[in-house]
Amino acid sequence: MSTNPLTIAGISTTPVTRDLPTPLLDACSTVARSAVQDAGLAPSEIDGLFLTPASMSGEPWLMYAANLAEHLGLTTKGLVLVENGGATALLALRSAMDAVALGRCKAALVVASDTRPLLDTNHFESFIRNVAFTTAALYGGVNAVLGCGPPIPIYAMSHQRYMHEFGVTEEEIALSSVRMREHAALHPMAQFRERISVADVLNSKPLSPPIHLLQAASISSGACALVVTTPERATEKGRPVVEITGYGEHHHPSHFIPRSGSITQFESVTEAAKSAFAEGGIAPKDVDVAEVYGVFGATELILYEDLGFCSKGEGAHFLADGRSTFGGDVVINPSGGRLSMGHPAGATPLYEVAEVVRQLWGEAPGKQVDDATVGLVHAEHGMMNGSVVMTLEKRS
Amino acid sequence: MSGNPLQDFTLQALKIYGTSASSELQRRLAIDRTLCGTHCETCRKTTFPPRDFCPSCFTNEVSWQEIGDGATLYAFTSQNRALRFSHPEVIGVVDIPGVGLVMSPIAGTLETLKLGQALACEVIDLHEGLCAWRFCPVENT
Repeated sequence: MSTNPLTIAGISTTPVTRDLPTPLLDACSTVARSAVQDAGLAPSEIDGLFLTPASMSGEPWLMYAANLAEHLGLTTKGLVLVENGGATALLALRSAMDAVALGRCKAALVVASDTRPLLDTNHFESFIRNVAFTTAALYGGVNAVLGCGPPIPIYAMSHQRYMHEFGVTEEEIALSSVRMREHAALHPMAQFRERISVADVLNSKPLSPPIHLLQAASISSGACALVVTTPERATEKGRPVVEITGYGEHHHPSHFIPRSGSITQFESVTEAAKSAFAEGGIAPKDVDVAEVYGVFGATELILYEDLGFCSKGEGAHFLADGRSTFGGDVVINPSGGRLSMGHPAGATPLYEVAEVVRQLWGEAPGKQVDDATVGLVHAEHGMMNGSVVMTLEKRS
Repeated sequence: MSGNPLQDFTLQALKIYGTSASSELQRRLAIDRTLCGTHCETCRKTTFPPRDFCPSCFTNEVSWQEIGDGATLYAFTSQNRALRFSHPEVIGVVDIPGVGLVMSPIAGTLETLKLGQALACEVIDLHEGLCAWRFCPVENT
């Protein structure tokens, strides 16, 4: 079966903030309409709407997809809501890509959003019910009784093993937070822009040793929308066409701690990257700009390794030597990444795509990567139990 | 209703998010005081969390098997704010031969525990009708 080539034709993002300044439906409607306008398309030309849940962390919203489609007034041949943890938004984009590639839709709008949970701490029983149910849903009916909170300890144990197995120091890992903040300082959409030092990181509040506050992505709010279509529909604005060239997805049969396998090297990342690079006909050394889903300091370095930008165990040196920043081999997370851009989890991967595409267009909101031609996006769910990797390329 | 919201809501949540196997695991923890996985009679693999089938070959021919012997400490940390433990209490991952990596509370402190040390399993009572497991350094048991 032949498939259509794909491009991102329009983008709109809210700044990442602690809370949305408007009601959620207004934020989603605004970015949706702006993305269509940015693509130079009429509303009637959008025939697919692909969504994340309105909020993964906040209140559930029954029949949100129908609700937003009605609100936007869109008639579609595809109306789909996707959920799979941190990879959600990239999987919603993948559904839109499939629909356009197969010709089922001509131009698909993808809208992703998230808000912080609003826990009712003033009413004890309501608070305990919410936490008990969330814990059981997140960890399952066996591990729920352990009573773990947000999965910070799980990443902390990966961080601990990473130091143990590869001889990496706390200071070397702390530098990843410093580097992300350097990038965010140049980015007007990032939530955290004040520069920090390694000492600031290691003196910040311990959350789950060895993870400190400044080594953890914040729980943030934001909304983002993209238009996926075929290149001939995207050339009217005079922008270079950015084509989606490669896609890879791999899910290990585990959720958080894998019974078998490693917590410092992730099969889902290496396998998804391998598939995406093969489909895109490129290698890691060809990538100019990347956005990766490093939600904790050590995770950032592990991803550099597992995506193939450097050898296993060399992530800290790769970072310290300036090979992952402006002027280096590849600029990773020019947005400030999850650690400083902020992390509206349900929408984060779409923010990553937005940053990479804008870099390839030459329209970076922050610092522009010189001569950026090839980009990469990575997202994951659980603790890298599943990963999605996408490659994009600017066509002349 | 017991009057203890954490107990009541956890039990309610487990009815939704649990399985028949997780209920049986709870029964074995409470009555037999053992931590068990399920063992496949066909492919000989032992699985935790337990299931009423084998996730390797999908057969229903599984039996309950006590696990925990020979466990070693694979990783550990604590958490400032958690539902059932808080700093300085320790949560960890233990490596159980023939089973793999299993999350568990760990008896001990962040300062004294060491990666690779030998551990033994014990059952702890959380509330009436609700148990968990915990691994303890062997020299302390």
